[in-house]
Formats: sequence, C-alpha cells, structure tokens
Amino acid sequence: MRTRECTGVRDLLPRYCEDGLDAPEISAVEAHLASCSECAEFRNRLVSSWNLLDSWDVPDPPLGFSGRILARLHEERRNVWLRKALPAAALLLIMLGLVWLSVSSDRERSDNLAGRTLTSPQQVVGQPPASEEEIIATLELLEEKEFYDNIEELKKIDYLPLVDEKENGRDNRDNRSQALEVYSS
Amino acid sequence: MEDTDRLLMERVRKGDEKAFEMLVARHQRMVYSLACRFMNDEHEADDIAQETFIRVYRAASSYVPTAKFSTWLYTIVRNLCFNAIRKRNTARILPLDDEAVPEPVSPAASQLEVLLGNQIRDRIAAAVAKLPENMRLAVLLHKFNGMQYDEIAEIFQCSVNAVKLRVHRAKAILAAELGDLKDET
Repeated sequence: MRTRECTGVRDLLPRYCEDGLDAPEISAVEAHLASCSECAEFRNRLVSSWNLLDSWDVPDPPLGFSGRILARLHEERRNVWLRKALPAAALLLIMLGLVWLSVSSDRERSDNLAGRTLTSPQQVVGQPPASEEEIIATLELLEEKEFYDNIEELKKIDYLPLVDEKENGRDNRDNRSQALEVYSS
Repeated sequence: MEDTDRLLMERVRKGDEKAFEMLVARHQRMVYSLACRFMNDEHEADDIAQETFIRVYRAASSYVPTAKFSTWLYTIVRNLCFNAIRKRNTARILPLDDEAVPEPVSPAASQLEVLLGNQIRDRIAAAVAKLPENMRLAVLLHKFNGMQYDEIAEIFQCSVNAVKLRVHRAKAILAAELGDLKDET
C-alpha cells in the first residue's frame, strides 16, 4: 500500500538515481526501498526506462543535406540580389525615359521656332518701328499705373486732400484720378 | 570543439563558405536527430535542421559569442521545433497498438528482432511524444545531446532547478509508460 512516505521517496528517486541527494537523504531513501517493494520496483522502472531510451535510434541526415542547404543559400542570395537590382533597373529605365522625353520635346520646340523664323521673316522685318511718342505714352501709362498702385502710400501724406473712395458713387479709379489732379496742382 | 566552432563562425562571418560547410558537417547529425526525435517525423526534421543552419548563416554577421555555440544553435532548433509544433493543428497520433504495425506472416528470427525493435522504438517515440514540449526537449537535450542542466537552462532561459524538475518529472512519466518494456524484451 502506498503511503505518504512512498510519495516522498518517489519524488526523490530521480535525483537519487542521478546521485543528486545528500547523505541523510540517501540513507532515508535506501531504508525505505529496503522495506517497500513497490517503490523498489518503481526505482527499477525509472532506471530501465531511462536506459531504454538509448535504444531509440534515428536515421542520419538524408544524403546531400549540406548540399541542399548551400543551394538554398545561393538561391536566397540570388533572390536578394534580384530584389535589390530590379527596383534599381526600373528606376534607371524611368530616368532614361524621362531624359528621352525631355530631349525629344526640346528638339521639337526648337524645330518649331526655326520653322517660324524661316517662314515669316517679313512679318517681323516689315513691321513699322514704334514712334518716340508712342514709346513715351506707353511709359507714362506704366508710370501712371505704378502711381495708382502706390496710392496707399499717398494717403499717408497729411496735407494731401484725399477724397473718400466711395464718395458720389465713383469708382476707385476716378478717386485716384481726382487725387492725382489735386496733388499735381 | 567550442573554440573550433567560434573560429569557424568567425570565418563564416567573413563570408567563408567552406567554414560554413565544416560547421554544418560538425553539427548536422545532432541537430537533425534532435529535430527527428522531437517531431517524430523525418521530413519535418529535415526542414527544421536545414532552416537551423540557414539561420546560423544569416545571423553569422551579427553573431556575438557570449554563450557556447551549441547553446545558441540548439536555441534556434528549439524555436523552430516549437513553431513547427504550433503549426500542427492536431497532435500527431502514433501507432500504439500492434495492428498498426505491419506483421509478417511467418517472420524469421532476424525479422522478428527487427519487428520487436520497431515496436520498442515506436513505444519509446510515443511515450516521449506524450511529454509536454518543454519537458520533451529538455529530456532529449539531456539524454541524446549530452547537455548539462545549466546549458539547457540557458536555452530555455529558466533556472537550473526548473530544468531538473522537468527532467525528473519526465523520468517518472517515462517509467510509468515504458517500465514494462524491459520484461517484454
């Protein structure tokens, strides 16, 4: 019949079999084994089953084991190279395509320009030159425009009699003209 | 042995393929047999062993010899084995009954020995397969790969006592499963 002592000894038996117990424990276990046939039988089973594992043979690695590993590595390296090379190649192709497009459009444009100068030289040459009056009038217009654009600066001058821009329903341009007249007088 | 492994790894790190081949040749048998016993399947063991060495090669550039090379190597095997087990949705059912083993009509004495040997091997494999994964691997590393408890603890990243406890419990389980085999043989 299994007692509490049996349970305790059976817990110690694996260590006992490995010489992992200290002297008092060894004495206690051996005393119990001498008096308990069931635990002694369990000890025998413990040892025999552990030793039985030695008979568990497994085959060697299959033939060409290391060769297949190296083949896999070579394949992997090739794939890595391809993974790196393909985007680079694609990028290069795109860049080449862009350069080609740019060059061809430049050439087309220059061809067109050359065509124009060759086909209508008379239009350019035959146009009468602008008179001095026309040039001065244009410049005055430009100055005037610049002046109107800077009207805000004029508003800051104290003595300038400014007219309200909304007065009498006139538009801004009229007000500016009025201001100009006052200022110039 | 350990120094040689480190030197070989140093050479592998520099891209020496011959050194890698030597490393594989030195450890392939132990790695394969461990995977074979753990998975109880030669094809899966082949895959795991190959993948182990592939990972060794990949990690060679970052390998720092803080621990024994074999400890590092078996840590890789452990991870791959556990992953493979996880991939198995259902537990592998081993032929435990005699009906599953092909029986010759009139076996000669040598055939009978082979048959008996196969039966014993199957019983052992089945008993070991019943062990929880951590316990199983600890037993295999201790029994077949000659690893000490402290080395196994490093692989499992647990205490030495935890490993001892696992192995001792496994021994008790195996005694219950295989204890009767000694009488049969």
